[in-house]
Amino acid sequence: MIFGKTKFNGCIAFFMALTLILAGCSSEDGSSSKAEASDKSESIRVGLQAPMTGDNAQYGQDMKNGVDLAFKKINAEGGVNGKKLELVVGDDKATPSEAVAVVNKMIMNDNVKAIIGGYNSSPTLAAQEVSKNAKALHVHMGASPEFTTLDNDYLYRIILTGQVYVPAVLKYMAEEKGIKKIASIYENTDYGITMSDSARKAAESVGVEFIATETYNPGDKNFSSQLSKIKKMKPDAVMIVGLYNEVALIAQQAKQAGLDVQFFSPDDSMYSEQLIELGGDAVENHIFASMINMEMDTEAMNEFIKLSEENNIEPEANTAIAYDAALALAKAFEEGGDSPEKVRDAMAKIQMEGTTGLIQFDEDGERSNAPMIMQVKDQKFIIIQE
Amino acid sequence: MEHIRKLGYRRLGLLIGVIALLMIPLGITNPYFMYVINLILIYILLVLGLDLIVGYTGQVSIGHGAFFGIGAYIAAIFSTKLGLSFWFTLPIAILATAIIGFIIGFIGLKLIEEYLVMATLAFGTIIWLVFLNWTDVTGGPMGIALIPSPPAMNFGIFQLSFTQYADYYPLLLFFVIVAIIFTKLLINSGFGRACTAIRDDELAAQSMGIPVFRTKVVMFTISAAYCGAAGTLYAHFIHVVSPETFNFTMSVTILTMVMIGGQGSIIGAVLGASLLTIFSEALRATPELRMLIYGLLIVIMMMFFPRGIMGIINYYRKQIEKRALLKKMKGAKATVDVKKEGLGYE
Repeated sequence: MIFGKTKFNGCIAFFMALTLILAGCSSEDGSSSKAEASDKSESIRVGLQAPMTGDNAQYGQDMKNGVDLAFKKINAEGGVNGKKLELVVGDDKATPSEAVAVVNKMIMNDNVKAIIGGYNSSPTLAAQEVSKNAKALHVHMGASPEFTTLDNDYLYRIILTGQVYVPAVLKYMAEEKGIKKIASIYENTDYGITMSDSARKAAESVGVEFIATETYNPGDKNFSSQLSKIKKMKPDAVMIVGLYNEVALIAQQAKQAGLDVQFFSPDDSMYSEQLIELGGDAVENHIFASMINMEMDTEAMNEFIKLSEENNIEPEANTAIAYDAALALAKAFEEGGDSPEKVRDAMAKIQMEGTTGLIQFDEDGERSNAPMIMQVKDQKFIIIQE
Repeated sequence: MEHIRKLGYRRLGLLIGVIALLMIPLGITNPYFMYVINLILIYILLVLGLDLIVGYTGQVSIGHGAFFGIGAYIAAIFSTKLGLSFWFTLPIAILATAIIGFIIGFIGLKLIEEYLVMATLAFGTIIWLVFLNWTDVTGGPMGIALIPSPPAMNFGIFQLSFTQYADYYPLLLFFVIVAIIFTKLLINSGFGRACTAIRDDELAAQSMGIPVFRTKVVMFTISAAYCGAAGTLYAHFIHVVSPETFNFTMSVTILTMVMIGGQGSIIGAVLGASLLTIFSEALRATPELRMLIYGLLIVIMMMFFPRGIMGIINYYRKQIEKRALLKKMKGAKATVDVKKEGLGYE
């Protein structure tokens, strides 16, 4: 006997309940897909490839919020050439194989015309092959320098690369702060490795030296062994390459360990209110390079802040950057119409003011805005160098 | 018609089945569905491999994701760094995973039951950490991208250029059919019988003169080689390998497929791999709930149908047979249930 009669009845009841739950979940989907079917020609679907679960889920959610805001704004203004924009979310779990799977699904099954994301480099590197073959624009936020060398006309990067950020921040540290010896601690991912590689390359030209490099794995909670090694080397400053949760923890544990030097990060990956919330006093004076300033008084930024307040969304840096990506994409669709080649050409020639300043791409699909240097002062982010 | 009758209906059914399977790419125009079907075929290979050791020999391993990974990484490294084609990386990967499987089996199979589970778990984790931290060779967390497709094949009437997912289907199907035939032959051989004897009662098997340890190690080696082959196919199919794919979750996923399909059954392996892959793809629509629902389904499956789908099917088949038998022997009282050892549906 595999199961008794009562167990069998119970199991049937369970399955019926489960079916009901699933039916409840899918009825929403069903109605929306029916609505889509009726006006399929009147909507342009865009896929978001981002980590919605796992360690990086917060960034995925920020990006989704940004794209949602942009699409709401555009749809309220009448859409793109009369067509509504529609977002399809795909969770890449920050892993390459999932990214390939989910981009495949979005392009081939959900019929999306362009992809926004991913947040991490290696999933995006893997997934861009799929979008390239399907001639779908792929506007991503990866950090790896490898993207520049790829032969993919449909790939655009909405953020600045490490090669722009790193020299800027190192130069600032050397010239303004008189830093000579730097210890670096970076996360053992493609992002951390490429950033610390760029830093080591840029170090010589600005006259600083890396005396120690330590790594940690994303999700680590205890950094005392790395920090005590760094402390022994007596550096002038410590460079942390990581996301806000780890940066906050490292800064706190360094304070406790008595490592009282200047901390900085090469880019704006940790630019989030969460950094101050988690880090408190420990992240005070933290310096980093950023392409975006949430306090900036420009038309685009004011509009974004207003929109996010109306929709009750926390205005994070990544939200604004994703918002920019969505607006740029919408503009490219407006100019390019239905042909993927024309949309791509429109994207290549795009020139518009976004929350991150002037959005425009070079022939490699890279942006070339100059980064700002920012610092945490009195629990606020302020610009210390334009 | 005479020909068909001679061939026998069973064989005719098989023939029609194979032709129908080959026709699938013509019927499905959505490349995403083709992608999922190909993924299922790779998982079937993995499940068949793990089933050899779990279902037929009764030794539980939760480290087979590592063999899958080793196969994939070997294919990736040899094809990107040395420029070897798929037809060279495949035998290399199979051989290498078999050797590593032999070593691990030789050490690990001295342990029994939960200790073996712990040992294979440790092995899986170690291999995953190697993938993650041996950056010079494995690319570390970035993995290895741009793995070439298998070389184009020309069969006269149709060509496989491996530029679209449908092209991979015949190749993968070929390997799955070969694996199924090989598994069938292996299980029905004296060696396979020895394995099932070990599963049912190790002590009895030993007293019958079966070299228990040696048999287990050989089966573990073959099982690892299956996963190596699947890994190679995966690497050349997805074009990118990275460590997270081959972590503990992958090992558990394969084991769950074996359990849900039904241990010790080829049809069960096919069903388990297909159902779980389809479930996990279908739940992509709700990324936040995906793993939750997936986990719930598995818990329900394991609570109510611990023998898997093939277990249920077999249970009802036996009931029907018993009823038919009772009807034949009118007046006779219900016969005593003869308890048979083993899974009873091979």
